[in-house]
Amino acid sequence: MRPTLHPLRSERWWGLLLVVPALVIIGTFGVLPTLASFLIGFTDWDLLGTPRWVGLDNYRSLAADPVFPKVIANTLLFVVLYLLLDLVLALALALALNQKLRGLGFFRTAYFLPVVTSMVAVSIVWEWIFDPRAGALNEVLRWVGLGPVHWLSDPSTALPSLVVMSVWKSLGTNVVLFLAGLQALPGEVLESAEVDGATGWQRFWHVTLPLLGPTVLLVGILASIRAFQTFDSVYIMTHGGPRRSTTVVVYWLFQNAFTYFKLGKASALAYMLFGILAALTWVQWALRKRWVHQEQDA
Amino acid sequence: MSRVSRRVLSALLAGWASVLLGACTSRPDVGLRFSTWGSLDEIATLRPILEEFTRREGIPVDLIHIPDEYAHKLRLMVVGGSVPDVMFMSNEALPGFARRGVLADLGPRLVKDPAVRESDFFPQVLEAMRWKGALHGLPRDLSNLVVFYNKDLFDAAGVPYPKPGWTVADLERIAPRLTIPGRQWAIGFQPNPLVWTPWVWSFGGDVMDAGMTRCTLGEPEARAGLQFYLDLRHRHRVAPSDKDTGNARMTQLFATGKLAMFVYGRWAVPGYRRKINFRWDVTTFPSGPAGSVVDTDASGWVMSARTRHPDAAWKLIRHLAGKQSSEAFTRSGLIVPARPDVARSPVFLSGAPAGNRVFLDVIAKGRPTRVPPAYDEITWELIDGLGPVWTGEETLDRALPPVVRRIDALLAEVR
Repeated sequence: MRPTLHPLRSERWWGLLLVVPALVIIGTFGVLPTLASFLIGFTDWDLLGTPRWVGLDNYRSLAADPVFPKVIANTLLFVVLYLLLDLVLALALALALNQKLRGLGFFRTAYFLPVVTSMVAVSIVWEWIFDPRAGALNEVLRWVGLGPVHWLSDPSTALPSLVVMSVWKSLGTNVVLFLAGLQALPGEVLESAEVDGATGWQRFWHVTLPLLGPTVLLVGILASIRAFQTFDSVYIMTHGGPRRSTTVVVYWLFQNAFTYFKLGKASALAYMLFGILAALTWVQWALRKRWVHQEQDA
Repeated sequence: MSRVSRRVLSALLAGWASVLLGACTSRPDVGLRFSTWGSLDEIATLRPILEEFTRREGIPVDLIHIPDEYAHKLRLMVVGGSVPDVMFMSNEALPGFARRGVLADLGPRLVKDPAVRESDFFPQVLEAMRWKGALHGLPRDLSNLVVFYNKDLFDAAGVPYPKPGWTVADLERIAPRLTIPGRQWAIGFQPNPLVWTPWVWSFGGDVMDAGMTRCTLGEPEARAGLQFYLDLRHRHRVAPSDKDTGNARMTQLFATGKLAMFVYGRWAVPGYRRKINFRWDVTTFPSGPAGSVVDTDASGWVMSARTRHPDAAWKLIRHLAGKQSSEAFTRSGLIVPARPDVARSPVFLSGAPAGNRVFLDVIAKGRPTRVPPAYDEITWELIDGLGPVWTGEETLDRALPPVVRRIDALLAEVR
């Protein structure tokens, strides 16, 4: 073969040229901001002035900020409630939808509808549902002689209310994932368990659930990442209130960056969140050996 | 690689290059960029005023309407280098921009230009557009707080209407007669700092000292004001609790005839003119030991220090702040105009409420809200920290010290 003279004639050059768009986009909007925010975390900057190097001051002031532990506690509470509700409900629904029922296609679509709906629209509709005077939820409670509950304006119910809405919104995704997992289960194993006289509950607990391990792990990791990133519903429905009871970490980060214009503090917070998430992911990963029976050792 | 696929690839690359280049070239310079917030009604009033300007001066205006989070989005535009030539701005947002040199000093232009004079505006309102002595904007309107009251509820209770100059003692005396537990309350209750600071001021206290170096809410006068306000709700029970109101806003409670009185501003007037089906009027905020003191805040038009068309921008600001425009803005009832010639004309004084003059009479004693660099965060701290006090879960004595400490720290932070 003749040596290539023109660079554009070489396939290698073509290859490089073709990845340039992806590199530019990821570099500009992913890598650079990530590196920049790490550096900004060591400065005092309000976007308009010149950044001033302050070393670890932002991390220190975060550690001393009385709001910080509250925000972390809110976030963890949100994640735990969300994970519990989400996993249990999604699995239960997936099991139900895995039966041979009539109108199955309809139900599968119905549970997936909230997933494809915009969070802004969902939040506004749920604001009406949660309204203490005219809302549907309190109307139902009134029929049974309860309420009214001030769902979003009472510090003790605001966060759980947001969790319920978030679970409703994302349930469909997890149902689909669980359904896929259920349908991939080896039928023989379940059949032999049935032949051995295992009851429905025993079959679920000792056969289905352990075999579903990888799916549970996947759904768990995805759901906890989603829960940690909760922002839009808080921004629209509660603005972090009442009394910071729904100020989760990403919302507080946004507030520091774009309401108080403390870019340094916000960046430091982002890296602290990164640390927490990395640690949690490591724990989940370490625990997978115990949960996941099916995975083959690499 | 085949000829065809190469051609496709070349086309793709060319497309990509043009996208990159397109992002780098600046937009063509067509005229003035002008940003504002406001409802669609306000924009509908504004558009003809801008069209008139373009017709007269031959300068097109690109209107940027930012209905929500205005000051924050504007700051991001400044950072992105796309700051509008002319911006509508409140006196609460102004220092944050002026401090960073974003705004042009309009003082010299006002002195030189024979078409507009300082005396065209209320001095207190012009003052609110200054930062460290430099005038940064011509004001459109001023905003202050008055007491809206429901005449029908006063008549039903046989209580004479509150007259300008009435006192907090008068309020305490008549309030129980205007309250029907669970159904009707004498006065609204808002945990928003904007609405409760007049109680603090009228009792001789303040949120912070004049130099904005420390929080003074812990001092006896300020505490007395806060305690008085709190007692309306928890001791005398003449103001509704959170349980009473639910998610309804105070302004809705007033509009539906459940409140005899309600402390609020001019912006409520257009809605009340349309919706309210009882007789209503306004009076002054009740006088405390230090008099009846409410805020005099303002909004106006400022100019970017970096505009490439300062002369055209000034012409636009002058046009917007002129008598004709001011009359157009005033007609809907939404604003108290910053111009005495319009404020004292039937354009402002006619139409409900009958006591329109009250909005003007309180200007003399009003004071602009103090705006330190950490203003937004301090406001959050006040809402957040005093929340349990307003609901009655905590006493003022217990809640106040940590709030004062936090605000002191925020005031010390950026100096």
